[in-house]
Amino acid sequence: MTIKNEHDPQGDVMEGNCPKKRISIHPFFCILCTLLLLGFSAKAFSQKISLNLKNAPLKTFFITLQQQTDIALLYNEDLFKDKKITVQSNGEDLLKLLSTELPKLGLFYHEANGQITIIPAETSSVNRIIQQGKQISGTVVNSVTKEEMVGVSVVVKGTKTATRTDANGNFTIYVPYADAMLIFSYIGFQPQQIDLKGSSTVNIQLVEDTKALQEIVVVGYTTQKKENVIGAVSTITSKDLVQSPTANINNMLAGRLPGLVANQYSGGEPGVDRSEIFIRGKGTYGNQSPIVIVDGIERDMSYLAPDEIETFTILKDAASTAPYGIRGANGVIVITTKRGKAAEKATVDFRTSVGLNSPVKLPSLLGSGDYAMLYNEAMTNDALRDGGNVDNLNLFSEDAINKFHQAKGDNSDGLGYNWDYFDYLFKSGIQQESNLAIRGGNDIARYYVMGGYMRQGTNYDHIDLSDYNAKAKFVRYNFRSNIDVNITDKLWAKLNLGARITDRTAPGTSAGRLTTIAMTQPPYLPITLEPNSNSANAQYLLDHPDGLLYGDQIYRFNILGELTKSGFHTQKKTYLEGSFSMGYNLDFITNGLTVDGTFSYDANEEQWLRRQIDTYSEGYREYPGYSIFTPSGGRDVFMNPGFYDGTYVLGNKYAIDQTLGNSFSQSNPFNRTFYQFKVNYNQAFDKHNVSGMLLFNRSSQSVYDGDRAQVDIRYQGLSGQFTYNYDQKYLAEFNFGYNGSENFSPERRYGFFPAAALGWVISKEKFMNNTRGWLNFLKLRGSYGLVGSDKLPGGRFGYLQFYTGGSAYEFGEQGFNLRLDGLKEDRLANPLMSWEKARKINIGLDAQFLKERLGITVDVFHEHRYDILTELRASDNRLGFPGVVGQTAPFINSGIVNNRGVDFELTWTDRIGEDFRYYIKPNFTFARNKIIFQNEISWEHPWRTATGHRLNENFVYVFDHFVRDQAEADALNENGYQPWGKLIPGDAVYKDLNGDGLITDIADRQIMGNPRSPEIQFGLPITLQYKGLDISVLFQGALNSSMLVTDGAAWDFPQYDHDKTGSVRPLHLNRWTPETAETATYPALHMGTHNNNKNSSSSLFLYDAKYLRLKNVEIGYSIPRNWIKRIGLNQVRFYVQGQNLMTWDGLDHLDMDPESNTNGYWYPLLKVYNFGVNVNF
Amino acid sequence: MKTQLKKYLILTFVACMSLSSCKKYLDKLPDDQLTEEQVFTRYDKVNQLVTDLYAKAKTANAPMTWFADFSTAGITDEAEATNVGNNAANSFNTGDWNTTNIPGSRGQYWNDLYAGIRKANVILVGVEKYQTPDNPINPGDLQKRVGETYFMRAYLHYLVLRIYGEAPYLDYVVDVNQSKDFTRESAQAVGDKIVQDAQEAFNRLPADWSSNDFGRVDKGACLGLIAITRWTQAAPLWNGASQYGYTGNRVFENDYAYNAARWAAARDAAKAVLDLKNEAGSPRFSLYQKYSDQDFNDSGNQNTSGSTVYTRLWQMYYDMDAFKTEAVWFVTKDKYEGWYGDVYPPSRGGSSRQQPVQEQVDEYEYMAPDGYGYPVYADRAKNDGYDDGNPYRSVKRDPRFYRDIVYHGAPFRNGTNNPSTVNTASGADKINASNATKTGYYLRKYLQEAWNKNGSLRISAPPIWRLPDFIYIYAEAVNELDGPNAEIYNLINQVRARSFMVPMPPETMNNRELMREYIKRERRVEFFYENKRAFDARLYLEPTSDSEVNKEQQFRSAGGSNNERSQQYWTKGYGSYPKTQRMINGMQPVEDPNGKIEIDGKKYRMERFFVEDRVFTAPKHYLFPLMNTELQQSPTLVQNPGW
Repeated sequence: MTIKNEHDPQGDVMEGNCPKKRISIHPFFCILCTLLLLGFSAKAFSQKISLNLKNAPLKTFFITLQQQTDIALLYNEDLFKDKKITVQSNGEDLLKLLSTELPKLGLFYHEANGQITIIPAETSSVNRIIQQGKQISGTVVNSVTKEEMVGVSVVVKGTKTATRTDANGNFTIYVPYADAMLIFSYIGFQPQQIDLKGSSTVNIQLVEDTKALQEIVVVGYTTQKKENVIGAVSTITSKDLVQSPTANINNMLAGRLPGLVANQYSGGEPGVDRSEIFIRGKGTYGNQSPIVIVDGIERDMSYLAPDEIETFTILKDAASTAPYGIRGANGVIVITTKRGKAAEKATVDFRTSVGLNSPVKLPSLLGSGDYAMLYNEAMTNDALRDGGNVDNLNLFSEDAINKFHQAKGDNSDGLGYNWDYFDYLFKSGIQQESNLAIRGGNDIARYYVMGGYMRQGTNYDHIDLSDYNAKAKFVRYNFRSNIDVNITDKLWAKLNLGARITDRTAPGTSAGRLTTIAMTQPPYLPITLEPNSNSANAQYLLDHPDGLLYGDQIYRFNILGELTKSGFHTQKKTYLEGSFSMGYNLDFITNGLTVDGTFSYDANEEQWLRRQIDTYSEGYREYPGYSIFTPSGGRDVFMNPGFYDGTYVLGNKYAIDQTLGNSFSQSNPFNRTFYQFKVNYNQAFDKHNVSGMLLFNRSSQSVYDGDRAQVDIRYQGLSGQFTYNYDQKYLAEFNFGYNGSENFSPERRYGFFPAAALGWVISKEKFMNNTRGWLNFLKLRGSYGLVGSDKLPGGRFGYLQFYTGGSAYEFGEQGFNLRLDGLKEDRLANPLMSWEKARKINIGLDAQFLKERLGITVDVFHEHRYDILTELRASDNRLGFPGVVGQTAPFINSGIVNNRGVDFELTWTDRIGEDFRYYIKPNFTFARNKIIFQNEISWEHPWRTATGHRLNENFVYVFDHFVRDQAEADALNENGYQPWGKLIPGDAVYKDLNGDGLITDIADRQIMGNPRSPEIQFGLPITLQYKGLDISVLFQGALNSSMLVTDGAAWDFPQYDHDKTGSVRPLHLNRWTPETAETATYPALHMGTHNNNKNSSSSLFLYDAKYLRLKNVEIGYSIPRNWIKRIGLNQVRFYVQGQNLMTWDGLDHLDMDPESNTNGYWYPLLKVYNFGVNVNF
Repeated sequence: MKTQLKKYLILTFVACMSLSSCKKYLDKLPDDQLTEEQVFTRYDKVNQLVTDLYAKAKTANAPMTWFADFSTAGITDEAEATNVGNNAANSFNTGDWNTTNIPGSRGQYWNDLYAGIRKANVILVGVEKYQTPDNPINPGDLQKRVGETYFMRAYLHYLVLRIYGEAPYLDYVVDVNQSKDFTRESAQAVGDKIVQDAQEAFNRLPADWSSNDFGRVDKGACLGLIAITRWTQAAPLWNGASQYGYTGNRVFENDYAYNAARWAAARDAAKAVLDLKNEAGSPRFSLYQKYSDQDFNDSGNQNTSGSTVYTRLWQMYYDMDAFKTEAVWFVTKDKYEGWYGDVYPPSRGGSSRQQPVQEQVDEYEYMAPDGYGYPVYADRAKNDGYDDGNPYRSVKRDPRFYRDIVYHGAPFRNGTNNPSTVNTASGADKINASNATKTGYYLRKYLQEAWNKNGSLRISAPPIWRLPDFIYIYAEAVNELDGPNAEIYNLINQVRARSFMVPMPPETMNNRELMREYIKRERRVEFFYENKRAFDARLYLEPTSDSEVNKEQQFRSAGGSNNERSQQYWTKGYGSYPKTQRMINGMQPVEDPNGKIEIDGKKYRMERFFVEDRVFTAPKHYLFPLMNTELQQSPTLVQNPGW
């Protein structure tokens, strides 16, 4: 952003054409270059002027004077439109020169407060001018609500005199002459220009500008008026983000922006709930993540407070991402934080809310009765397969099953245990959030400072960390201080400081372990053992008055033990970000030229405080540090309901709970220095508007790996953005990035990435005059260019061959106690490697219809990604090195993927009557990629080929039928039809696609469904406003997405965690049995691993993951201003919010959220109900 | 002019920012990383490369953890395995292994073996290319490291040969740009190259190592590798396979016609191991003989085995002296103490990871009144007092049985380290209870029974090859070539005597067939759970050999249900169960007032039962398959028969 925009949004005060030969360089330039701050004086009226003009436009004369003196000359160009001047001066005094030359042209000047104003000769008496200058006062109100508007900028056109309206919407301003013009502007409103015509009071109504064509849009390193943008860019603001009551900004984005695909597959655990984000889907099988730029610098955006964000922008096409060059291919996310605004009075904004969060959906698991019944069946099936003796099996009795069905659950009735572990584990948590922001300043300095606090309580039930003086929580603190200072009217500085701290305290266990317990622990096992009268247990019972926790050799961890006895850990993450910029206005060289430089240093660190009860391991088996107990007769005693009166024995080695461990560690400290130097040029020549930006930056980022520090990761590059438009009708743009990455050899290190764009505002053409009634604006735009990506599939310095740490080995006759370190050849290098490239075409259209009530933005894109940095892994079916080589192939540039699609946003804004306003803004993203080339091995059968299809397609064995009877099973087994061992009746039979009588990986898998990441994502935000009441709703959904679920997500008795067998779920009641052969939807049951039925590539487990969610609802009510004005408040708004309130999906009996991960190790997404108040004064 | 000057100033500034000096900004190399030259110009770095190769060789073939958490015993007629670790072991038994997925990868399969071979080649080529200087502190070390590297290259190829058969022999570093069209070589040719490399190693290495170097490859290991390779080349799979019902068609099938010279080579190679002298001039290898027949204390220094397990038999897997005298090649510290918890019965907080099966138990001979050892399925066993209802104590079994197997009624420590009796009829250890045995047996071999979830230690047992390996190879080769003689009779009896086992009956000295049977049984007993059976059964082509297939027929027709067959086969006196790897049997206690086994006041007799069918398809399962991906990456490679 240039100083010009800060001061002077009109930018036409000193417009004029300055001949090139007049360019001169002020000595202060050097000072700026070294970023030294020197005093600067503008009071130089006695300065000597040297010039020689012959019949030059008068304006040139004035500009020359300004350049030589740095004195602001104020004039209204209309005064001397066609006048020329011939003048020669050799060191004459400025004022003297003016007083001799101006009267010749019918002009005169007036000097006051260090400003010189040029005035017409009719008023050629100094006295008259002083009398003419006068005080103007007035009020500004909202044209709709008629409410007074605070902080509206009022500027005297052609001068630098400006003010703001006060809390009552009033202003007073001194104008130099009676015919001056005033310009009123306010963000989000259409600016108004008022000709005073001598009057001294004005009352203005500003019209809200929801179409916001005048809006300033962030396009990479610079800003543009939305009207002039010809790249593909989408933006949302703080207003949208604060509607989502979640801690992580990643999770606020889905459905908000056309072109953005966000999936929260990692679950909703507070503090570790980041969504994956792609711009326009996935365009490569290489690295797919966009880079994130916060306030001009690459930074992590997690846990920024939505309140501190001004705009959130995604850059989608080549024109907007080319300046990021070698790193821009996956798109760019640009975030700007809020900055101060000049206002008479600072604005204080306070927002606080409190809410409840709870899991969206928990998997339902079958109770003990059904578990026992299905267990018997699975065991019997396995024995049947293995020819074993069914009578030898250890099964539940009929009686036991009946009792379990009637059991209350906690065995108080002697009918056995019957736990619902998820119900036991989760409850609603409380969350609170508060933000206080102060925004203000004047023309010299402006500031935005904010402090924020958000706290999420735990969702775990039964948790009690009070013994440790700790509470489970996730807290986010946000601090921001953005300061802008105009040191002189040409030199300015900015200081941005942002800090985020997240502080998570959780039980000393992990969500993974807790949910694994919930998914695996058989419901018939106890959580705590009942005290019994057996004397052998007396001491145990004395030592454990709260009860003996149950645990055996397989189910080693106890859910209650984990929640209450595992201690706690605290994870603190600190993000500190500081940047300092200075800029200088080089108008004295040529109008519209500025330079600025930025220096920044970011540091993050993560600390872990573990006051945990340590676990201990035996082989892969991990045991808790608290004591667990099991009946001496083995856990099978619980297979028969009743009360156990035998002895208990230790389940691990501890008879009493261990004391709390205490450890502290730091992980992943990170810091990055960044500096940037930028030259901006922005000028209008008549109807020709030209801008240019040239930028050089460098960054250096530390890499800590355990206790070692690698050499820093560095980047540097040059970027440029050049725009031209004629009358804002014909638009053209050229952007480039020229940058380098250490990942490639010096000869292949730097890449040049150009992009060009053209735009045509058709609606401005004369021939469109007769459509103005319904078509207000129509712009066609297109861009084409090249961007790159330097991210390797793994590691750094892919062009260099190294040797790296190997494995150690033990020698020595003292019990082999001499441990020597090893060394080994590292990954093979490819010196020829270079960056990945993307050629992108974007064609877009922006239109406004029906008095700007209907708006459309549509973009169609095609991306051609080539030279993809490819890892030739055999597991990806790529043609690499055979195992015999002994090393995997080095990364190469190969691979082509095309990605095309469309994204659009419609806006309908209208009002019904005076008071009811509404808008709906549906957005839609469709992106379909296609692998053109990926070094795929050659397949005999076309259906097995991934090339020519989308990325990450699901290749599945196509389910055909269940084995009908033993005869069929025998026949299939005899031929070895399926490669996963013997079949029994009810097992799944797959289609033999190539008809060779065998099911093989090579020939019998084909594409079905869609890839996991949705091709279509859409959002439907609706806002209704009636007087003080407002309602916002966001529906969000995804289509063309499939999930291939495995393990605990869908399978019966799945193998978990080496040795645990998972639980069964309602869908397994539809399993195949001889009786249900006709209606079964699930194959015969088996214990644990059974690759035939529970196959991770089986079409049986391929589900359509489409969904529609009621993502957000916000209902707010603002108290009428008249009521609160008296106590000095501007706005008081109460609101209720909801997040993830309802979901419609196609997973019916699978009973899981469509955004969950697919393997059953899940922490559910959270649903939030929130109530808050927002006070502004 | 001033303006001009300023213009140049700007240009210079911008130019300097973006060009010349700035380009260097990215010219920084990771100075904490070693390049090839830095590595091979220093002895200590090369030494580290060799250490890494040892670590590689360890994961490539560690007896106790061959399938990640399992030994190979669970895929043979030695033991049954539980389903943990994603069914790593049992997948082989149900036939659920294929050309896309072989469970239990731990570094022992194709890609990992060749990765190790590359490491060896990188060292050999690098040392040559950079003329690596010798260890200045201890001159001569470099050549020894080179010798060890030759051994590793040969050894890793042997591991390839063992499970894949024909294979490319890689004695060079494959260049990035070189053709990747590899072809397999005849198993005999691969064997010869192994021997050649092992000889190179032998020439550079000492006969034994002391102090800090103990555990490295020595001359004995090189000779051991040669002997094992020669024996592999002479064994039925690669020497006259068609005589044993083998029907596959390997690439070099013609190379595998029977050739007696291969047995002679095996004999000589084994003899070289037996005859090797150490640096001091006395025999390099001898059987571990510490402790007497009066020592029965276990690792907790308690006699909790009812004087059935000799201390010597425990200690031969832990005592450093055993490693020094009897072990020919071994890897160190392969497994943690957690292994004990894995194999303990549930009553001791274990999860009975691998459970011995009846096939194995029947192989332990009994000591007959005539002073010789006979199998319990011999005709005379009943007359000598063997009672199948009381099979463990009615006659005195081979002492190795009591060390190796926990049975119903076995004296054993309990969870509080007091003597107790194992009961597989009720309670936590009951057959088929959760986590308990499915066969009626628990594993005892290598246990340090006093270990009770406290203290940490690491297990280096069992050695990969120890002296008895070469005694048996020698005896077998002599027997195959010239028939039995007193020399081999005595050698084998020495191994038995070391375990306080009575000798083989003298008629073995006159009966080649009988001698062969005794040698094979001896291998099964001496090497139980030592990672040999899975490969031996294949090398001897037992699943297709006429005698075993006939036995399988007898078994199938012995009764209506599998359980009936299991019992009838025995009572009909058909001998040992078929070794076709297609079934396992167990033994369960049955309450019987006339039973001879009494536990907690209840009397039991033992009864045989059928545990499970297994899948072993010949010739498919004789060799491991190459993965589909490998054939796709190098189409010139040919898949093994049947896959």
